[in-house]
Amino acid sequence: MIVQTKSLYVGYAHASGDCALLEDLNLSIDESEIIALLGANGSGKSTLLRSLAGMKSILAGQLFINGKDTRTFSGEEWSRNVGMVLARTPDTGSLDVYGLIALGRIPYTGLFGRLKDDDHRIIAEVMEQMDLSDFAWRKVAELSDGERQRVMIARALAQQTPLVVLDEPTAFLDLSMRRKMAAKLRELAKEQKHSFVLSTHEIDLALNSATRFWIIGRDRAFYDIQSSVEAEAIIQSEFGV
Amino acid sequence: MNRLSQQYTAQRRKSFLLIFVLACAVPVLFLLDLFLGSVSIPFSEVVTVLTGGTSEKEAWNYIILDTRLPQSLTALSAGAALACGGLLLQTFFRNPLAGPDVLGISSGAMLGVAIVFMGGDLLGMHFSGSLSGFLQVFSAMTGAILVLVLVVFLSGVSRDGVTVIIGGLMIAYLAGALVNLLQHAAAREGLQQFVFWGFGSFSSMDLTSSLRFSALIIVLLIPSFFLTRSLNAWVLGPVYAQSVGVSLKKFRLGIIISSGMLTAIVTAYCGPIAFIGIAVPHLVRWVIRTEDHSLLLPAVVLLGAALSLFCSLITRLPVFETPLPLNAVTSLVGAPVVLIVILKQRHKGGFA
Repeated sequence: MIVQTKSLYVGYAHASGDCALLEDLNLSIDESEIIALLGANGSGKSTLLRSLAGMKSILAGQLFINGKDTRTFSGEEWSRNVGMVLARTPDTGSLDVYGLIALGRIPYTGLFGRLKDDDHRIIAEVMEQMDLSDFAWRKVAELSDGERQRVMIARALAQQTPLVVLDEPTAFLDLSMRRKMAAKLRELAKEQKHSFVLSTHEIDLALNSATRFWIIGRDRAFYDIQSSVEAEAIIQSEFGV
Repeated sequence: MNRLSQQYTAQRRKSFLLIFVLACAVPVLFLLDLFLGSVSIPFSEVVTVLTGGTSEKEAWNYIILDTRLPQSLTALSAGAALACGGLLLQTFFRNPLAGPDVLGISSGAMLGVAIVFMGGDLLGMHFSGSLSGFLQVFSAMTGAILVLVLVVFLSGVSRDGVTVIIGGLMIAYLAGALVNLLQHAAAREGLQQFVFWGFGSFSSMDLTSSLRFSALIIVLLIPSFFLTRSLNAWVLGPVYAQSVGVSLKKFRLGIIISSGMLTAIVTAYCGPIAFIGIAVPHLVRWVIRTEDHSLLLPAVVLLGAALSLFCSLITRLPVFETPLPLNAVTSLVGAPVVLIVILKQRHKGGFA
């Protein structure tokens, strides 16, 4: 088991009192799982993802990663345990594909960020996995949305974390790109033993590729379901689609 | 070693070449600054004086050791400091326009200095000698760092880079207005002192002070190099930087202190020097097209020193009877550079 939560509360901490978006979550993530996180905008998907990645402190309860309580985690420990991919690729300046993926190695490099042989080997590996080997010296800014998102995923993979969280990774991709991305994630989960949690609005895509579903319904009811048939029924009753 | 890592190494070699060329250019320009000036002194005489001998003319000794040498030292370190501060700010704000002058940091320092030069007159106090020097530096630093903290706060409120730049400009106008009010009320002597300071100059220090100044700059440059890794991570913005283990608080603080101190100290001693801080990072990024700060930082520091020595040389070319105002020269050199680089860069993508 990679991740386990015990009565986890996530949301916003205010001086006047905490505002929990999701309450009392008892969740777990196993090796090679792909978890689709579904819910309306503003239901707390991003907040949960950010809390799982250590970018947002949890309000109450416990979050264990690889059996360790994350309350004691340093920034560096977080960076070696959870990787992150966002919907929109930021401005990448004059970074080329190789240079951007190399940024995923930062948690393992020394003070000046010098890449060692090991780092080069891992970068070449993830480029191979994401079919980017021919793109190495292309500027990221000149790539298509789909190619760019593959680069961002490769960067997260280079970070070699057991868990990668993806916040609406397919939001800006066209339909065929979305399918390819989903297939790629399935392949990576199966062969490389990575686990993914991804938020999405693509219900069909989620139902076809995820191994587990976290659904945030009306009134922030939280469903943790493994069967896609059951998930579909809940989506139907909660969102009417 | 696989094929890709070999290509990676080969690409870096280009950047190393630039750094090497710059590392050679800096001493050459430094020497040119010593050999050339409004008074023409024979080559051999300059060498004699520099190697510890005395020249046949007393005036030449003085010109070389007390005018040209301190001026060159000051130009060298001030240029390196401003360029480094500019790079830190451009990367941090992820904005090609960020720089000490645009963000109002220079104006903050200017207000601090204006208060010392002219505010004292208003209160019937006049500072002189070393106390005045100390107050000048202290108030410039206070002004610069206050503005920088304000701008960083603005950047936290709004993630939009344009807001930060507009905020910085407005702070600059506000500080400028306060300076105007002070000028309006100031006595002649303080006003004159302030106006001359505003022209910018590398020649306000004697040899001892310029050595002290250079040592201080070197000490302040060192921490920036320890930010290399975080700067690289920051290229993708705060969220991705945090996800590879960069502590936002520490990094922010590091940037504020490093860039704030570097620009504040130079501004206090040499006046608000325009364009070196903005132009140099642009030029370097244009030539080596990388976002790797382990290459950018040394290149920027060296080019900053070189460009500033070059500008200093121009201000006192033999054809001019009195030295030109430094700021006029740095602007004449810097503004077209920024314009050309931005226009060329537009087609290639990237924010620098």
